[in-house]
Amino acid sequence: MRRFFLSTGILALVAGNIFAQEEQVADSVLLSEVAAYAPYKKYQAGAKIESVSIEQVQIAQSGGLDQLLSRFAPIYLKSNAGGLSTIRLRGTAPDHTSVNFGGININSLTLGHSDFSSVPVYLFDGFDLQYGSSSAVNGSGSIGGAIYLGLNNNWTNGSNVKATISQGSFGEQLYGTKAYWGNGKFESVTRLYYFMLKNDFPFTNPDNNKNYIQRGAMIENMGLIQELNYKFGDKEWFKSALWLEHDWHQIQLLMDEVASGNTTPETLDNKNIRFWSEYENNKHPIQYKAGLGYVKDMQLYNANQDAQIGTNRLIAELEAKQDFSVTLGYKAGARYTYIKPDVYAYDKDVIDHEQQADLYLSGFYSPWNKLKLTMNLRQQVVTRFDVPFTPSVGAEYRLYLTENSVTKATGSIARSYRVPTFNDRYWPIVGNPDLKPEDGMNYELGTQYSYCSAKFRTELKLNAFLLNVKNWIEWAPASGDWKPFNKSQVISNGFEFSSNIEATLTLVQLNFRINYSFNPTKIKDDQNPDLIGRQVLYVPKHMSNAFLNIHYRNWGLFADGNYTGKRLANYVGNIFNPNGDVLNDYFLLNCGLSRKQMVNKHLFTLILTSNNIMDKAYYNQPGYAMWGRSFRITLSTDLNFSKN
Amino acid sequence: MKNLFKLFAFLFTAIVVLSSCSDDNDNELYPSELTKGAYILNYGGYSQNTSSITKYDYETQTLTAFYYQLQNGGNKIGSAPQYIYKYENRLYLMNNNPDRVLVVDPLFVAQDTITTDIIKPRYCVGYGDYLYISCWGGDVWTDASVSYLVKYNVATKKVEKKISMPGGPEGLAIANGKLYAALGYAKKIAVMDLNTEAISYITTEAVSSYFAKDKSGNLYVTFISSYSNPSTQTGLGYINTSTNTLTLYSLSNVSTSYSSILSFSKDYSKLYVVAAAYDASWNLVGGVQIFNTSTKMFETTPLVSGVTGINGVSVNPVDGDVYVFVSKGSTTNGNMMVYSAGGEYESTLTVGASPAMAIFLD
Repeated sequence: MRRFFLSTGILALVAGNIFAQEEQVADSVLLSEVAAYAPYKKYQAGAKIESVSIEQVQIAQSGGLDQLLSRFAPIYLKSNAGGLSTIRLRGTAPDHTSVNFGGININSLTLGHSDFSSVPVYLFDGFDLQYGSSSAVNGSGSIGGAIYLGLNNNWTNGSNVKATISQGSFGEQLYGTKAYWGNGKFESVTRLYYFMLKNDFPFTNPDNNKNYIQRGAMIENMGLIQELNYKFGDKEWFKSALWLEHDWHQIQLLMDEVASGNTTPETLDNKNIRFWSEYENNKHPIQYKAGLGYVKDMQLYNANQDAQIGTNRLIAELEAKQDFSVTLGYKAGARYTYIKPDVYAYDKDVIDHEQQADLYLSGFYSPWNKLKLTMNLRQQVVTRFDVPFTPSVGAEYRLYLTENSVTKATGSIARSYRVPTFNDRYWPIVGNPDLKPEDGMNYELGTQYSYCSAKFRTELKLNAFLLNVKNWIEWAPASGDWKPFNKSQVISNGFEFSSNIEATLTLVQLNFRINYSFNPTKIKDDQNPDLIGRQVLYVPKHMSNAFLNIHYRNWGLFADGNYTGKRLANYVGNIFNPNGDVLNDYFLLNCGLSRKQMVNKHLFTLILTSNNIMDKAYYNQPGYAMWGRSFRITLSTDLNFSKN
Repeated sequence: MKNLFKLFAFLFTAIVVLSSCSDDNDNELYPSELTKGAYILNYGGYSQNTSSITKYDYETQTLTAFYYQLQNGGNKIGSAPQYIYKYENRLYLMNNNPDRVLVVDPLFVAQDTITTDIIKPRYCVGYGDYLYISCWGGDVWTDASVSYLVKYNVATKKVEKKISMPGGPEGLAIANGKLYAALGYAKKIAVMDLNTEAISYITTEAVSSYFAKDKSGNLYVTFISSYSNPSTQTGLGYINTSTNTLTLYSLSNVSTSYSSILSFSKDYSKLYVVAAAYDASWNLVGGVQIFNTSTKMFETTPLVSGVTGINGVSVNPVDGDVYVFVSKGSTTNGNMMVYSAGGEYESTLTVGASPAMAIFLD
């Protein structure tokens, strides 16, 4: 497969004058097998979309998506060790990043965001990350970016079973199975996992320099994805995926609570049903697809059945697209969502249900082969709420093309928005129905250099961005209670650099990746004048990570390190720093060794890893201990009975 | 007989001398020059580690931020204190997350930590050798039976007893040999006989939160409307502690904030109550209402109106100035608005995060 991409890339580079092929070069020079972001980029020229490599996914498969992203992407996640992790993509809030599973944004409609520690890496084949606004494509909430959870369609002919067992420090266990069965037309894929983490790790409380064992941070997650797919022909298919997830965790005790010993940990229990099905027909000039989805989210705090917080969603989408030529095409669609909240506190006379409808239009145009332009338009309509018209435009311009390389300049301007959450609008007494939608403008400029030869490939990207978000919603003290307000205007700007090098030296394959981001996010305006000009909390100015992966025959060796800069945890401070409490920067180093062994045509892989090998004490929130050095052993099998 | 008289005289003299020695020791240990002032309790936020004490010298009008940290070698309070209480020569902070009662001396130097049976402590009151601490005991909003009082012996420094008190005891007051407990999750007020510890109840139309005791030993109590116990019968109650009869003076939108939502003026002629009101545009905005204790009516002009985020109100017992505490969130500093005893606005000072109340030391 890798060779296919390589040869496709070289061929396209040589041809040079065919736009579509050139596009493929640019997008596929370093594309790993599971990367599927080409469909997203087709209508979003200039957008920065990247895939997490398959090797990185495999290394981090035992944990949640937070572990994967914080190690391998220049993205900060505010997290503790106990199962709560929220994303801060390009300095934005957790509810400013959509997390997409098929046609579903899985973010909670009541809270607005996802807990990234509850998105299991194991269940998915790949992850695509979009940096910057994409509301015109993904709808409400995609202000800072979007995450796409990927499932491959293999159209299995025969059967294939993958199984993974992983045991790690602090009582970590992962058991996972993926079973593929099909006849080339019909395919069933079943993915199951069970994850358990006792989290009884040692830590030193910096307040008294005493050693403790963490308690009250246990995690137990399990999930299933069942796919049923049918291919009517090469251009017509039906796909469906049902994702059942049950996540339970104790709300991690503070270090002082562990020390005091009199605190019983509280618990959060989340059950989710997510279903997305899609019929796609590409046999006609006007191609179309229809999607249908259902989502049921339910959260229980401390197992209190009388305090359920949940929502039910029914989603229907219809989309048509037409490519007049390789240089001109469009797609248009409509989407309808019916939402029925099931929240103990809501007044049914105030909110019984909500309806949302979206109309969207996207197009691409290449006036000449060096230039590609795209445009997206979206208008959402929400019951009792006004949503702004949301356009975006993007461009990619090929600066240089040689036999082996492409250099591009990219740019985009995108408006974005977020409809306030249900809690923001409908929580009794304090819900604020007068809230305005958050309103963002994203400006992006980038350059991308790709080089591809038989033994050496590289891709360098430099992106500068400016994101201006108005009517930023925050909860703040009001008349005795806290209420949501359109409180701030935030400017997030900076730049990101990424480098990916792959080299083949006889029997040695080498992959080296570096990411760096500079992101000084400032509050431009706020109801509290004291905050104007201040850095947004929990947004590091500097982040970087590096990943080295070396394969020799069946052996693999990898090491990765990530640096997280200082973060402001509050504006209150202390006697030593009256401007705010600062969380120290830290560098974590991880490494591992893998060995693959084919037995007949079945693959067995053994991976030994050590995380935080320098046993660095670090904190992502004041008062919460994080893991020190840990070890993990993972055995995976890939029993292949496929005919293809 | 003469010898007996001499002995009594000696004992009396010894007691007087020893007692005065004790006062002198206190004065020596905690001289007024060091302790005199208002100490603002900044609650901070749950799990935020942003709580602090701000010392305000009202004579020189100077503020000292992070006073607790200064007095304790750089250590922060650690958890969120929602109430502070002075009893004998110690101050008790009701800290949440981690749950504990932090005991400090009048210089705010940490002396002890009470953790035995302390789960979600709310408030406390002293009587004799005992400190009674109201505790929710867990998720009282789910199971009202989990709450209780802790009886702490200040002499032996031991928790002696847990007294079951269902309904989520919040504010406490002692009057006429009885302990009154406002219940936040039951529409009644618990009354415990301090001798027998038998508990009886006063039925109410709304859940209650805090008390203020007048000069005659009777109690005012705030009635609020909450998520779990909504009510239209909110306002200020007056309990005749001899008969335990209750009279309600209605007031809408009484604050559901903690511990210092009502405070007497220096001369007890007024009672300040934190309660929101609608502005001209029908927006509900925070304010401090004034209850005239003679006419038993709320004044038409509040002390403060149109201020968002009012957490509490305290009155300086020395000069009668009224301090109104305004929170802007758990991660940013709040304000203390100072009004004269006559109700004139004087100044706004920056204090710590989510200021809740002030305690005044001599």
